[in-house]
Amino acid sequence: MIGFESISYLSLLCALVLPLVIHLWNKRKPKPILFPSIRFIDPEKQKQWRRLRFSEPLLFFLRVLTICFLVFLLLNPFYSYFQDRTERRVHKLFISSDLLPIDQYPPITQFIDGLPQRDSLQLFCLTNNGILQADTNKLFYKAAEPLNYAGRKLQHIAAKHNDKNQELHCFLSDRLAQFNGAQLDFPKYLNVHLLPQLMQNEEKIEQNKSLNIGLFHASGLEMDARYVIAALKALKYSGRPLSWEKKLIGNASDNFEAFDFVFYLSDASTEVPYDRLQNVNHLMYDPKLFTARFERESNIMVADKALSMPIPTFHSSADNIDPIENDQEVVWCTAHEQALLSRIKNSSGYAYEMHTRFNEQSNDWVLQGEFPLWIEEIYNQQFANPLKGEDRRRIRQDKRRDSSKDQAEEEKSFTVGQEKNNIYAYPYLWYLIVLLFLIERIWVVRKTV
Amino acid sequence: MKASDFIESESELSLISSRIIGRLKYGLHLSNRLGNGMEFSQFRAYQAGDDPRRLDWKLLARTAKLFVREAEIEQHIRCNVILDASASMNYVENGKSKWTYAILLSSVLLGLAHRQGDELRLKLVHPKAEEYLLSTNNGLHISHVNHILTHVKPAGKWIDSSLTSNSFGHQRSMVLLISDLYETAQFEEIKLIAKKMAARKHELIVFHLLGNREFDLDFDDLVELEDLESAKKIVVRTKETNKAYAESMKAYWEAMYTSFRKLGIVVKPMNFTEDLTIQLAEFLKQRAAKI
Repeated sequence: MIGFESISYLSLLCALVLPLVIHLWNKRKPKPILFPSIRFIDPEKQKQWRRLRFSEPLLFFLRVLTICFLVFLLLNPFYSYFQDRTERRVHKLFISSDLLPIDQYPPITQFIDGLPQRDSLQLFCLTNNGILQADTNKLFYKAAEPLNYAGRKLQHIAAKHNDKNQELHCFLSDRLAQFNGAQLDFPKYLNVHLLPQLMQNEEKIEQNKSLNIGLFHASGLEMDARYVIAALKALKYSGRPLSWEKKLIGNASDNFEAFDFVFYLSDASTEVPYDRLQNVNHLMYDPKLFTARFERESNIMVADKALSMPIPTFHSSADNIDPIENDQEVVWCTAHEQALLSRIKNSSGYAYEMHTRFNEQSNDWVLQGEFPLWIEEIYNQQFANPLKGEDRRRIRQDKRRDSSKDQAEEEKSFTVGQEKNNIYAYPYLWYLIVLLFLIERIWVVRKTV
Repeated sequence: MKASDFIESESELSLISSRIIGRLKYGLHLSNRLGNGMEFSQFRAYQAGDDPRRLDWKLLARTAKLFVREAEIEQHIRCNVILDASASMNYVENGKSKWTYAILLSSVLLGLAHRQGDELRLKLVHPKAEEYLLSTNNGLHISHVNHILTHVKPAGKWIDSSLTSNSFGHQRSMVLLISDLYETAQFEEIKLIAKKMAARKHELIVFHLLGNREFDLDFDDLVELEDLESAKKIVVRTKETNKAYAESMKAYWEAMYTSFRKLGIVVKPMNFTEDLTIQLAEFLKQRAAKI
């Protein structure tokens, strides 16, 4: 398949007017003059003029050809073809967090099923906080983080994972895709699959599947449960409907499996069901009792560590702080949230928000900090009257209606197990253009000398 | 004369030429020469070869020296104007015609000769010269000359004409050649006839008519030049050609002028795009000073 990388240079074909003008100028008729004697005029000049008139069309054709090739060069044409691969490859698949229930979306499952058996697959989920591996299930979204930052992070991550012998594919939902084509220039080695029509499916998913959250806490940890409430507040920004239930622990029949997420708050007086907690998605507990064993676990966050962390600087979403450019702790929150956090900080002395930070060792963006301490009334104020799910969908649909018409046609096809190769024509075109230019110059010089 | 005008009638030519003649102080030659005559002019020391009859015996008796008595005698010479009426004289530059200039110059020169009482003769270098000049061997009246000049239209080549060195007879005379001096490289007809006339002791003065552009090819960049005599055409890029052209022209004229001067022929280049009176007056003044 032949393609052009810079089709906008096609307008340079207007330069064809130049040789045409030169040709017409040279083709003008000589002015007739009656002269006493032409004895002293070299007759060789006349022969030269005849030669010149004969060579004019050829020279014109040569110049036109040179300009055409030059424009063709600027268009950067390439021929792309797919080739079966033989080596073993690692496929890194980035999936927009909106598409997490991938089993319900055929193109992605089709893609994964189509991978050669010898290849290995690494699945990544893109969240607003950067990249999280799917098996960790850390689904805590930053509140009000500008989405284009997520796009920037995707660029950063894709560049980082550009190892040899790897294929990078990225499935973006409409929510992130709007930052893909229009505003961000993704690296060429990242195959981005836009799935604009996904939103319809996504809405069905959202309607059908809500997050069921269980908050288990010890009897003396009523206040600490507010950490979780703050997390729930953050969860609402995922765009999913959620329901939650607060329960006292200590009951052997606690059914953790009934919830998508379980928050387990315990203290020294509580007997902790270790075996069962291995399957709990998220756990908060009193570290005085549990130390070494759970600190190694990635899905466990320690409350007192969170409480001892310094209070980060809060940035409004309107501040346009770029997490990639500004490699510091960055926390986004709305202006209203920022005001609330300040109030909490002033009254109680501590308030925490999740924030992202670039970890040099892991070379990745990671979550830092713990859940903010928000009093319940703040939660009620924010969460009791959230934007209803239907209203939110309606607003998003309105926005989407304007932009998704063209995007629906742009869904890219992909071939699994094949390697896409591009052959660029510019090296050969350079030689050709230089050759044509030299011929033209020699021609002109020979004519005039 | 308004240089841009073309003279169309005899009366027009007569009027313009008479006005120009009126403004000229000098003639073509001295009116009188010293010799045997009635009007005493001067004594001159006797030289060997002088006729002894011209000795002044009375003076010899008084001074015992030999003196010859000289007196002024009136001189009438035959004035021949050879007018080149070949096709190349049809050249027009900036609205000024070489031919118009040539007939006006002829008329003025013959008018001057007429004023001095000389016998006027007009020779045309033209294929049909005989039709115009029926009385070639006889003297012409100035009005007749003007009549002929206004009716001639340049055509043909010099070699087509019936002009020969015998056309002027054996009597010594003044010959005024008005031409652009374009000759063929093969025959060199002008040089040849000039040589023969000089050999017959005719006093030959050549008026060489030339324009500015004719010399430097100062035309547009791309022109198609048509030879007025041979009708050959050639397309010329003047910017590329004019330098070589001017050099060859200069070399040609210098060679021709040198050969003329060796024969004792006077050459006067005349720019036909400039004023005739000034150029002719200057020439006559220089000539008078030399005589």
